[in-house]
Amino acid sequence: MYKNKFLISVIGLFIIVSVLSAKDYQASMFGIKSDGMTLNTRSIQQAIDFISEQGGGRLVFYVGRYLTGSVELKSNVVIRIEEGAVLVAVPSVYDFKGVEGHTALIYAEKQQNTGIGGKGVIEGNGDAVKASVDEQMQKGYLKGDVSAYVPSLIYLKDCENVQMEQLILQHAGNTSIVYENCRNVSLSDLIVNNQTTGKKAVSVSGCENLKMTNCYFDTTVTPLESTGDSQNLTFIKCITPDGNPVSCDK
Amino acid sequence: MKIKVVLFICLFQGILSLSAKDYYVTDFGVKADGITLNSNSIQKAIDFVNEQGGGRLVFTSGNYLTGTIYLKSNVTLHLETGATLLGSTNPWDYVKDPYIKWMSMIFAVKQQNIGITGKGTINGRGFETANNMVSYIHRGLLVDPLKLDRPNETNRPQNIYFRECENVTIKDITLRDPASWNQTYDQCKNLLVDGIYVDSKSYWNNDGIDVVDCDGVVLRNAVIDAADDAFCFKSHDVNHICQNVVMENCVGRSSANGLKFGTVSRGGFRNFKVKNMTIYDTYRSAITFAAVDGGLIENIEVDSVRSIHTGNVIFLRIGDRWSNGKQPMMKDIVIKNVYAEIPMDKPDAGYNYEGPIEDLPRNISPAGIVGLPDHKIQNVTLQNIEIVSVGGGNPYYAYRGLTPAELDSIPEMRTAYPEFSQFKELPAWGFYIRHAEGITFDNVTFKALNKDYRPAVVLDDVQGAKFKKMRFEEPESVGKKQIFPYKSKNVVIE
Repeated sequence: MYKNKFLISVIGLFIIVSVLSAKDYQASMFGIKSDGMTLNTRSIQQAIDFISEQGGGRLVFYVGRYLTGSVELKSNVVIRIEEGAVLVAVPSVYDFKGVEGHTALIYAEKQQNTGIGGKGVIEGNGDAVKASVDEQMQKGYLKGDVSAYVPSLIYLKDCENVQMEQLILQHAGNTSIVYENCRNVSLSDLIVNNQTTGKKAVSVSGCENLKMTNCYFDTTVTPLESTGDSQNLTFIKCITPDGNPVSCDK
Repeated sequence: MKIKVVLFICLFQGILSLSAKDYYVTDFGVKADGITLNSNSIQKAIDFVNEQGGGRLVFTSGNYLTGTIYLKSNVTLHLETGATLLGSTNPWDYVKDPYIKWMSMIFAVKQQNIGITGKGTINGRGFETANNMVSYIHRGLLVDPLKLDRPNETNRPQNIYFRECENVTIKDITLRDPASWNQTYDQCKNLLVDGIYVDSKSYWNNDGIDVVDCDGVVLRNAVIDAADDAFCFKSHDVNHICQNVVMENCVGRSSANGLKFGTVSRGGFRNFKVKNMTIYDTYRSAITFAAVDGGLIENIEVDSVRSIHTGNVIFLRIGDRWSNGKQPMMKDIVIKNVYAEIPMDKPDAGYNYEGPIEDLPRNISPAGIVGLPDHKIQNVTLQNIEIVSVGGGNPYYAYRGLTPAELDSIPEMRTAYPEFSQFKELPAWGFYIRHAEGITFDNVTFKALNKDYRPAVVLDDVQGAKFKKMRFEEPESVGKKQIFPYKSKNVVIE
């Protein structure tokens, strides 16, 4: 009994230490600008890479508009978009990239222990981005399917232990959140608003142990989709504006 | 003959570029508002023009903010009057190329038929970029030794870095304010640089132009104002050589040297013809040829130079810095039709990033030809030269007499960085020549405006020297012996 208590307190201490050591890095430290005009793509990427190399931590955005193109999330790095902070997608098609042709504002492949949270906003700028794609297609500089060029907000492939919480995700030009072959992921307290763009909120395929709690989906189409074999998907209190619960129906 | 071929190729390139198709960069979503960072859109445009077989990518009037872009084969960036490629001041927006291991705004690696033309500007805004980088280093975001409180030059973006490219045309553009050296052409073949204006004194080390190990170069009608060397030819690679170069009608200002070979001089420099060059307000030498890293300097002709208000006019130096056993060599140099004025004051006073005051105390330093005992500088002809020096050497301020002990006390400085002032006080006010063979002075005038305690010319270990039609003017110097040979043979004074 005594031994158990000791063990528990050691484990508890260990947890506290590891939480404390998840260091916070403020965006400004990396020269990231909150003016809504400066394109921060490479600064944010530099910040993520640096924090990852340091063993992990949180990259915290406070009040302001942070213009960016695609950035790649890395293991042990958590992005915090605090209340009043907006991560804004730049309305220019050539600033996006992703994994295997699937572009997204924030993307990751084979990363662990990561996440995005905070009470802030991810602004997809979907209509403007799509206009940029349309224009370039019309001029013949881009070829193929429009949707291949319009980015999702978040695209994760083969990732593990990812928490997404509290965010407002809006105006995605493509499905807001796409998870492929991910394990042990949770999405909670999200508000997804794609009214103007008419895109889906979440797409899941081949995932294992996915839990979605307390999410509000304001879309003109069925908000969720599941393709491929997923296992152990849980949906608690996820609703549409009319109060109807939603879940992934295959 | 070779030079004619180069000129012909350049002309041919010119005709080619005229007939190529024009694309407008704004069509690719690029914004000329000075706010939108366009790197990716400009890159898309370059890639597209390249894929279509080539043409000009035209920038109309406006400010185009960008980070690193890569120029591709058969693409010419054409900057119209009023168009500026504006460098991002965020160091993260630049790429350190993994192959070249330098940073730059515009890279090209192993591309052919490329160019940057037009009356527009490339403005690196390097002072701000470099200072932003310094603050990142202090925050621990970037590892750099921050030697002398500046980031390493390879960690600061240049405006242009082209490597292993063929048929390169740089014409009419203005280049300004890089964070590092300004424009480097490294192991390129057939390079034409014509009619450019360069203002490159926004940060330490900023050169005007660096031509490194290139073969077939025409550099003409360039005006360069630089913190570091203005017209700089280098040889980084022991297996390459900078050769077959025509440079004409160029004007330079520098807080280092006007025309410089080196300092990195591993392979060497061969077959140069330099004509009509004006160097002014320049802290060090109008002309410095340095073979200090085992390379050779051979068959060089410099014709028609005005060197006004420069610290020194000519400095030829063999050293043994990074030779790694390779034998340095300098021979067959002709410098003719030169008029030079050497002032008392600091020639670059008031310019940004003034040269550091060094090697004091010394009176006005002479021009120099300084080899090594085991590597003599061979066959140098100086013809139709007039050097007007302020003179006035004061023996109580600094003194180097003419006794064997005093002359032998001048250090060889084999491994030192080569500069005309490196030996501190020298025993001549006009020309100091040591460890050389076959020196010819023909119709050379030395004028000192003030009486100097030293003779005009001192020779030390010179095997074969001929002085024809020499004139010396110095106040209160009647009967003064102005040429002093020491340990020298076959010195003929006509």
